[in-house]
Amino acid sequence: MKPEYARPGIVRHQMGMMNKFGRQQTLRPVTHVDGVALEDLVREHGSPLFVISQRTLASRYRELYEAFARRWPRVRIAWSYKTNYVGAVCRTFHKLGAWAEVVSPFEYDKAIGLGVPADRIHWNGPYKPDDAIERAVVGGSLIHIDNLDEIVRIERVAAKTGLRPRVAVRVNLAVEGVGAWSRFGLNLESGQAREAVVRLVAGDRVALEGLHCHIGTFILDPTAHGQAAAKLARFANEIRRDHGVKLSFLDLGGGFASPNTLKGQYLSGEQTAPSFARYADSICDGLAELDLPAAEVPTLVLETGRALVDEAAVLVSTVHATKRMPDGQRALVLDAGVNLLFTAFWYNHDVAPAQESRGMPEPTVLYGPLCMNIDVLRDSVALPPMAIGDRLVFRNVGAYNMTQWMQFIALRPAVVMVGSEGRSAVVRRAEKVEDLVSYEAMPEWLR
Amino acid sequence: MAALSAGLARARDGAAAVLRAYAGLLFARSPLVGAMVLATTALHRDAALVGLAAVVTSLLVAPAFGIGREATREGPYGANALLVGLGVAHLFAPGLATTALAVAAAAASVVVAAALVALLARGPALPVLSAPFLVVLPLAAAAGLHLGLPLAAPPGVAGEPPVAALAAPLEALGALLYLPRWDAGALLALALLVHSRIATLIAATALAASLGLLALVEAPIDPGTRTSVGLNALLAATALGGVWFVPSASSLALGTAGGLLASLLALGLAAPLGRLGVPVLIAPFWLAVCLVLLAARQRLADADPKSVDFAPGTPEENRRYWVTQRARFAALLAVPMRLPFRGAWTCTQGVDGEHTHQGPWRFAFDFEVRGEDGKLASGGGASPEQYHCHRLPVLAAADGTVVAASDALADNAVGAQDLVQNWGNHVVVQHAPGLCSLVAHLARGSVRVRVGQVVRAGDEVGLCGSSGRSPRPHLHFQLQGTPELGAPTLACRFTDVVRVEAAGERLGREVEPAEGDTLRSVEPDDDVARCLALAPGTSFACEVDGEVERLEVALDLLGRLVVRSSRGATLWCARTREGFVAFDVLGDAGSALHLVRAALARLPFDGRAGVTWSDVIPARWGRSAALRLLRDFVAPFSSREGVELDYTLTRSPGRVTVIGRSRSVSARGVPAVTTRAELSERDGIVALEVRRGERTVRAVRARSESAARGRPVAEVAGLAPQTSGER
Repeated sequence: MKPEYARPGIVRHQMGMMNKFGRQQTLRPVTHVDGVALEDLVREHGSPLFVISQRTLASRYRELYEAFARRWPRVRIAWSYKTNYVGAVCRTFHKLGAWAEVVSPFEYDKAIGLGVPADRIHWNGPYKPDDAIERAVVGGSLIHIDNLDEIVRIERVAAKTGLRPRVAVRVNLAVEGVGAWSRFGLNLESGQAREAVVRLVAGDRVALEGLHCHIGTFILDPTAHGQAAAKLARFANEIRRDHGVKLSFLDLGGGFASPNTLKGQYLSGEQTAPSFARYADSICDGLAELDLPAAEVPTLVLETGRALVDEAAVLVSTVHATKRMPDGQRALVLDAGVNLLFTAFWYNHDVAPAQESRGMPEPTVLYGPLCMNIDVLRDSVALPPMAIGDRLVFRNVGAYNMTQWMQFIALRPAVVMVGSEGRSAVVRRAEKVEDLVSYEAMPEWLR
Repeated sequence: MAALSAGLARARDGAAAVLRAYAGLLFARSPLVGAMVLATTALHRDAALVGLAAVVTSLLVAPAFGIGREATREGPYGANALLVGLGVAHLFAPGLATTALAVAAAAASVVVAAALVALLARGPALPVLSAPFLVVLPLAAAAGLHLGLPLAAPPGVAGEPPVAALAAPLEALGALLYLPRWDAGALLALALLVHSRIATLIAATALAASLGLLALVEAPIDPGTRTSVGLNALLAATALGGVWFVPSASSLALGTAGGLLASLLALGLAAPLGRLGVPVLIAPFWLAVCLVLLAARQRLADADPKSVDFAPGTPEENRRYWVTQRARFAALLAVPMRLPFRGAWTCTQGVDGEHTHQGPWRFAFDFEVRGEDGKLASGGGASPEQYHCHRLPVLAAADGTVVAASDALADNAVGAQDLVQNWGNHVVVQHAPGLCSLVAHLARGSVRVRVGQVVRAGDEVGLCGSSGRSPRPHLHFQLQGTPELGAPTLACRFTDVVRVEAAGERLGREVEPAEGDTLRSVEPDDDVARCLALAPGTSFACEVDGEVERLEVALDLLGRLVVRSSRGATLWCARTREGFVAFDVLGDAGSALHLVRAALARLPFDGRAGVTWSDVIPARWGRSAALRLLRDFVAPFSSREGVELDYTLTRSPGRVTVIGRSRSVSARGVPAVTTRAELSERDGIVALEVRRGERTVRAVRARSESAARGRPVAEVAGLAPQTSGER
């Protein structure tokens, strides 16, 4: 039988000349995190491996905090647990002064377990069971009301415990240039949020302490946040005027972009992600709508998750096999796939070799280890020739991956944190079969 | 019954006033010292009785004359009457006539003293001291001679003291009570030692200097003159070195010099006054003190030695107060200045900076913002917009009125400067007469205040820019005496400032930024502030040593926050938006307020985690009483006082715990002193504790009156019975 025609792989050599896209981008290998060699870490803890830089966590936190604290008298960062709730990451932020922002009873308990005082927890989200509400009320946590039914639930708890729950109203609002994010909270423009406030004040069983809005995720235009801040500020003015209630905080949520590149985005994320200072400028300008003197303004709460943590982590993976696809494209099979890098579904993750490599870069498709067609980490990325056993480093993977990863087909690997002075430690050990089996039970009739 | 107890109270007050007059001879106030002086006069029984009669006379005459009770007790009346009475009793033979003369002279001394107070203290602000006695005694003596009163027998002799060298100094000291005998001197020396070790040291030094000089030159002088020289030297030295100036090495030097001056006067005045038939007495002492005090006013600065310009106590107390004050508060500013920005900025040019902060403009500060990478700008810093501080809010440093504002100038290109309009866009705020602050180089169109507008500390006045003499965006801040641009600058310290360093954040109460310092203001946290509300009018109870003590928060006449204890102690403190400071406690040493002062010396209401601060607490917490008494002898040569503690704050829901650890550690490596204060949002101060090494020196549990009614203390305090040991 005549074999199918396979396109030969021809790599065009570029000699560093400018073309219409600019100069050929050379990939710098990523060999170290804060002075610790990745190769050493992988040898010790296995591949794949998540490596978190504590220094980057801290410096991003300070950068965010300072950008706002230089513009607004009272600023609070509440660490968004769902973005990354590895204990060491949370603890790093809490030590720097962050409160906790949780969206489920599980996250709430995790925060308490990490030593966060109950009254330094903001509890968001659409699902809050009664018993969890009760614990939050007793602890003095701030409950962000998502829907009108929740008001009834909270008031029932208030009556039962004889306490005055501290609540905020989550508001959704229209912002030019950003798609509606109306699933959560009560709508401002329709008057729903206003009604909820009237209802809370009339009921007089809870302490209304704040307003909260979150206009979306990965917002690349800081003016959108400014519009939201102005609307929230005007709403706060209205509440003070109509009900005499002085709010202690305004929560602008999160949604700041990280340096990742969205799929379909022309420029790289490093170039498009606005600095914290630009978000701060816009938000604090919007908040200037508040008709209060500087000494009495409410605290500005930020729940920035992604932009704080994304840059701080890398995923080191190892080339397991190399292939040439029928269309001539080069392919690599890695030991890390979408089971670990969930965000690969919407980002073109920045990837670089972990060692010096020679040869011309060539468009390459990166496959994971899963026996599933969806397991593609990059459709096409220019990489130099890689050999089996070479390492690839995915950068900016701190957000959502260590929470949304799947135990599917493969087990989840270790997470290592690099501290100061070249220290490193496992902050989440690799899973073992026994761990998973321990959840299971065998019915008697199968024994 | 009521009449009886009232009578008893009056008798007690009267006895205290009498002893106070006796103690006054040694510049002391303590009844114990007074009793010891009284006991010394009893070496000559008749004179002692006459002296007592004279003191009682003065204490009756002065109020009858219309002098207030407080002035009678604190003023020169009793002590001068005592000196006059003793003087008369030692001149004339005992008898009714002598006593009558002494009483009359004592009464006269009250009037003379009042007149001299009016003349000296109110006018040239000179001390009256023994001046009334110096006027009255020669007159009384002349009157007695004129009336033909029989002269007293020559004073008795007590023989030689055990140490022969001490004879002359002790006799000189005894001469204060007309008893130039070593035993009287020894008793007085003991009284002086009880009163103040520092005063004893100064007196001894002056005596040694003056008598030593006399011995050195082998002066052929009679014992009477020598005693007079010694007495005047020791009195002048003690007054100058220990009473009018804060004890220190320099005050000891000044005291000794004053003592030598008094000696010189005593020698020089003896002959001329003798020719007039007037005894020298202790006039040289008074003259020397007045001369030195007048001379000291010509000094450029009141320092080394520092004059006592605060409520005085014993030399030990004066020194403790002043040294502690200087360590805790670099300067107590009438108008506290806040940093003129929000968040952390870095000082890039400080006082006497190399670029422009020189000459009349030396007290100025430039501030800029460093990014996480330590750089002032992102990108290359080629345009003003790339600088981190560009267009950040600039704030008013204190309350005041805007007296100048302009914002018409554009930002300079980076590297360019406008040398015509040096200050660029600026705002000047007048905070008090003669105190203005200037912020300069603001961004065009950014000034949000108008001339005449009243601003509060922390209000935004404009945005940071790069106009005027500014090669890159920065904020220039200075204090000046007048609103004019270019006015000479005034020294400036910022209050409640947190220094941001790699090792952590430390609070400084009054900070003069230096180049390279990264600073931010305290960021007030209501959760912490609520735990120490201290609202005037509220009260709470403490349990100390099983005894319940009530504490009341109030405002005093000057509007200062005070906490008064039912045990008769008072704590002066301040509570602002930024934090709480305990200034000083006076009164009963067993009061819980001393624990407040130690465990809550200050508390910044700062929201950020990990801020530490240090403070100084009284030495009583760190050393045993005996060691402290010994240390008094060397204290004037040390600029340290008390125990320096580092404090940290931890917060849990509704609760704040402040832990203090002394820098000095014991042999076993534990801090020599630790303090612990527990505060709760509901009950305020809940528990206070000071531990020395591993032993609890003192602890209290407190409860607010309203919250705790009808519930046992322990339950309210929510404390396990962990306070053990010596309570």
